[in-house]
Amino acid sequence: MPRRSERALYLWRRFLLGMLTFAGVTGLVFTIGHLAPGDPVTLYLDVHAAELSLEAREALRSELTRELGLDRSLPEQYACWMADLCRLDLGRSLAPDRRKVSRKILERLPGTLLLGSASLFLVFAVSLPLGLLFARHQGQWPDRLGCAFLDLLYAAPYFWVAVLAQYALSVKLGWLPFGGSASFGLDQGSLASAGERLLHMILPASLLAYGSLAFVARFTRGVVLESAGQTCVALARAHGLPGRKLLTRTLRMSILALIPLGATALSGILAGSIVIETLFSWPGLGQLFVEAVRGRDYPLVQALSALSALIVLASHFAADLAMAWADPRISFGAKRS
Amino acid sequence: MRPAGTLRTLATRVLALAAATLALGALAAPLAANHRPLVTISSVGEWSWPAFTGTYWPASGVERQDMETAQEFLLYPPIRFSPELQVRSDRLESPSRAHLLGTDHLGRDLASRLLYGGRVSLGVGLLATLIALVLGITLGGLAGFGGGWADLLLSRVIEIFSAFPSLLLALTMIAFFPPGVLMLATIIGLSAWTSIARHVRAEALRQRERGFVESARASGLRGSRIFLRHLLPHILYVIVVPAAFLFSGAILAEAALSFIGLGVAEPSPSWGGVLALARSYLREAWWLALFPGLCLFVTLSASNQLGERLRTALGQARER
Repeated sequence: MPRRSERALYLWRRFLLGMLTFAGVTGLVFTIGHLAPGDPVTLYLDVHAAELSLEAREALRSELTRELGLDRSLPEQYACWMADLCRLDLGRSLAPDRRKVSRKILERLPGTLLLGSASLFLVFAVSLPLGLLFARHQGQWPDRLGCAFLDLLYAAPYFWVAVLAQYALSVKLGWLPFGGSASFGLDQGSLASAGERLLHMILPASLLAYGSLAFVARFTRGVVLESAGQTCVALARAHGLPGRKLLTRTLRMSILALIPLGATALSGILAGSIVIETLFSWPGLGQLFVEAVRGRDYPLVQALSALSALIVLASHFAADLAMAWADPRISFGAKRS
Repeated sequence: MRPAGTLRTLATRVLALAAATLALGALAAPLAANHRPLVTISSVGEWSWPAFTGTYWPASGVERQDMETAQEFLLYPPIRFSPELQVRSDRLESPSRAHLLGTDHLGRDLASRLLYGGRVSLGVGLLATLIALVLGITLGGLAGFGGGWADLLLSRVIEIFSAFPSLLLALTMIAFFPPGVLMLATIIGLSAWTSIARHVRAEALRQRERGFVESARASGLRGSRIFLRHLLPHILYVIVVPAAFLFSGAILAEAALSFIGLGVAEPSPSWGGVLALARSYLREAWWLALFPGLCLFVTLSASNQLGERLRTALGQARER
């Protein structure tokens, strides 16, 4: 049994490494922004201030340059940006409305959280039982047929399936709404509006889940098979343990390998939400990100990409925490590569 | 179970065949889909090759009929439409003998656009894979073989790049860099190299203590040479399978980016771009939604199958 302090030390090290990686992430985002040809202010003026007089343009230019800190040296700019980031002051967006980036993000956060958590739940609710089922019947027809089917799912791009589902379920059959997050003209907070919301969520959430489904189910199958093959399970089987107990033992061992899978699935869902939210006009961060990229809204793009990397890093750290809690065998002293 | 097995083999063969046809069609797109004839022999016995030379050929109307009647012999490609040729009278036409897969809202032939789109999609996929491979092998090799500070530093770099969800890094770069097909491939390659680097690094760490490396070092070879000539051949087998999946991933990324309108721009055809168009005409034109996705599906499943096969084959080879 490792001592408590060893575990704490290990977790601290993981945490500090994660912070270091996040510093690197911000550095990368910053570097991408400054390697780019053309400067954001000129682009902004060309797009949004074409009709202004020359003097007004120049005034706006110098004002924006000062606001974005482009008149300072690069290290200084990075330091300022980092300081602002730490204070959660993300500046103003370069879209015509010039609203605060943090306000924009906070507005869209609930949408993504709702959709993301629903589909994360769906992924595991569907693919864990599937993986278990396939592993239980390894080599028999349910397994072979199921795996072949998963291969097909894996190769069909989720946005294609989403378009087909839109065609079948909302255009042809009219069962589900085409897009958006709610119908107009309903009271916020009323029961009808909650139902509407749920109805609007079915398609995007299940298609977002679909993207990670095949991978997670396959992975689960592999993990369960691997732990079922271990000596202690064989021993338990030899002792004549009933199937149900055998299953719980296998599951308990599989859980350890499945924890990091949660973090991986979350990363996949974040990436998928960009496309799915755009497709279904779901008001979330993914849609905001696409709008920001389209509008060359640099402060917003940088903030959002740093934020999503932060979420991924945090989920990896959470997986580390869960692993340390769940598995007493992790060797905390050994160097992990 | 035998029936399921044979069915699966059959499905795999059909898919492989379809993928090969697509790839060939994409490669030979100018000869397979063109509104110019391949060969003409005029009434005075003069041969010409409009599809190869790209000479002017009227796209439709009376002028085209005149041109056709002036020839003694005409041989058209299987698809008689160029990808950007707009036939006003044929807008949103469903699949028929004239337009095998139908037309889009501008009257452009879908089959032709998909063949040309395959050039873009497969080309971007290949180039991105190549870039990711070169980056991954170089940086992963440097980390694993070099060890010490290089390893520490490069491992952090790998971690930084893989902290982004797959599409996000690419999108961030797209926001700042001018779009274009080459830039798109570079961006996708730049955001996908870490898996290769991880594999190469791990394998290099495992292999560098072996006797043949030591003897190469003892005979005074430079590090880079040892890595390239002696170590790399032993490492390559671990990245064959990831490379196949990397290719799938790159194609998927390009399609997703074009689908949300931030990849290959109109009027250049790409599978993702055509699929994006389908959204606006979902009520009228199901073929616009079905066929581009089918192209993607066939390509992706063939490349995934290839990866799986290689994995099994390599696994068996190692056991022997």
